[in-house]
Amino acid sequence: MDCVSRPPRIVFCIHEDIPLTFASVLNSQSPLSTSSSEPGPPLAASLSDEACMVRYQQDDAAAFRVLYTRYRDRLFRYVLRLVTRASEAEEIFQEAWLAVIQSKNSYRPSISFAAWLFSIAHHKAADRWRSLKRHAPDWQYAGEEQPRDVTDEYIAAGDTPEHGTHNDHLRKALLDAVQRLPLPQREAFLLKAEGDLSLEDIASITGVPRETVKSRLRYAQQRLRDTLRAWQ
Amino acid sequence: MNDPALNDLITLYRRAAHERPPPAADQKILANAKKDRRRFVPTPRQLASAAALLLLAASLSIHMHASRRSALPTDSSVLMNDTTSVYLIHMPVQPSSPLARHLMFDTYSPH
Repeated sequence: MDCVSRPPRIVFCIHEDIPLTFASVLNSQSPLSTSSSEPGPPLAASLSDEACMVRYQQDDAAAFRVLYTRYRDRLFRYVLRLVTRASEAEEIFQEAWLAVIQSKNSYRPSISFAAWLFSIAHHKAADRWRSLKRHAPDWQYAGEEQPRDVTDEYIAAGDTPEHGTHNDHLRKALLDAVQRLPLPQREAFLLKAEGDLSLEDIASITGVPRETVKSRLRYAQQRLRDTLRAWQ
Repeated sequence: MNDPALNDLITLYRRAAHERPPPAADQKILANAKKDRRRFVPTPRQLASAAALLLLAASLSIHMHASRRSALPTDSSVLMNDTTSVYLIHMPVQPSSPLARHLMFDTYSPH
């Protein structure tokens, strides 16, 4: 659950017929750590998310900063790939964090903080769809979405030219493939990849049974693999 | 759910996804988090206690008001006490200055 303690796994090949070009991508990118650039105070940084939230309920702003540092990038990427426009993503991202601040006293430590946070973001996105009179599932299930370059303007400074054009294209192909997933599959995948949530938490957030989440993840996995294989 | 193939895909995705929110969003959110410390946000229990106290105070006030209206005036509320009586008895009623005397004379003297 904790981003800071996420083990930096080195994967050399994700499939037997995918050559070492993937490995080069995997090894050339530095591990994505949300907290590496802005470490929080030592005491609070060693606490679990739930303990940090309890401290924030007691007006410890440093504890909030630790939580924000841990989840800032992950929540932003989740929202960014959930909506159509980057400006929308920014607004929902801010609304979600402001909701965390305003309703901090309603949080109970028995609930995983990550599940609570991503649930808030999910509901903010759903509110946005409703306010825009969009029917998100139909719109997404139609499968007529065009790949969107919503991510280009948010590429981090760590992306240096020496990574090479090949890796850039490969990365873009993967992100485009994620973007093309139907919304339910995409959201399940993102909640797993960005939120590191359990199947139960994903089921609770998206309001479907656990088995449905499993099947969505399986379909998402299949589609991503097919896309990457075709790209090769 | 421990699916190594899915885990590998997620690892690949995590290394490819590098987007970050704009710094302005960080400033706004962190500023709000600090601001919220100074703002009192009552819990449901505090709200319930405050409402109960308010109700109690209102009922007491109504009760006291009603009993005050229904009670007959007592002697003590009508009669002056000794101090007031003594003051009124000894209060100077004669004009003290020549001008006052002149005015009193002009006003009240029988013609």
